[in-house]
Amino acid sequence: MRRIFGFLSLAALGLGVYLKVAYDVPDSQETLNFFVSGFLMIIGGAGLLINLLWKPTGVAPKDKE
Amino acid sequence: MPDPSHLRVPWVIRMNKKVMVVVCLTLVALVVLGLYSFGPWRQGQRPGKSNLAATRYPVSVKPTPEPAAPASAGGLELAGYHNRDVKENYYSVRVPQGWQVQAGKVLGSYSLSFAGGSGTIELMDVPDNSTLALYALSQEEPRLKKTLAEYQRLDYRKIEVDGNEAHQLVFDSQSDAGGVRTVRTYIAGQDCAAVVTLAAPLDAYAGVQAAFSDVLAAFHWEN
Repeated sequence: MRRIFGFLSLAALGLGVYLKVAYDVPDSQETLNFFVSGFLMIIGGAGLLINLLWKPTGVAPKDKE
Repeated sequence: MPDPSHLRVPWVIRMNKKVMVVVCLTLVALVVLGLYSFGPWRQGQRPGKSNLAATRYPVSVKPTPEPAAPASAGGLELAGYHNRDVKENYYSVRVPQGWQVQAGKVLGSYSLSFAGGSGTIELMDVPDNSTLALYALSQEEPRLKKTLAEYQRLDYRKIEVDGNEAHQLVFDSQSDAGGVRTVRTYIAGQDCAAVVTLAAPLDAYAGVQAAFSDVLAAFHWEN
């Protein structure tokens, strides 16, 4: 689960950076691109950070085995 | 044996403090982003690509008073215009003195009118997944065919304008006043392409053809 969360965060971050840096934005869509790329980068960065900081407080029964 | 009751505690409460701080900061950052994108902070400067909604630069709509207006090869006096409307797409162009030049509806464009003809100079965004030639032939020409009456292509060729790749379409079409011959030139640039369109009635075309060539030859990207 944690790996999936980390992968999705990394994907969001990567997509955000791509939209910000490399994507050729149509002239009338710059505001939308600014928002979407910023949103993805923030979410992706925060997701990665949370993934690194998260410490489970207990062990679920199925993880014990 | 550890008490499993903590497993029933909602996950929000089980988050450690650092994660909570990150979540809070993320929410604040998203709100700031929203305000900066769509809200009251939108007026601030926007990094990144050109913004066509920006204010028109005054220099763009005034003829250049400096000596940069020599006579053309055809003997016509030219007036220079420096277009600074759209960042990364500054260009200069010179047109014969008698031509009327007005700012176009879209930033970065000019509307030209002269005895027996008219024209436009505008910027065009070409997608990264296309080339200028492909875009001109696969998107622009079909659009012209749809919008102009009796469109008939006379010539298409690749040329060079101010050292840049350019593609030129020459075509006839019908307007209310009669037949019109148009020279439409797509000039590759760093960010956008420039499109110079010059049109004249069929019977007057021969008289302005040299002026058309002069205008094209005087086009210059300033970036």
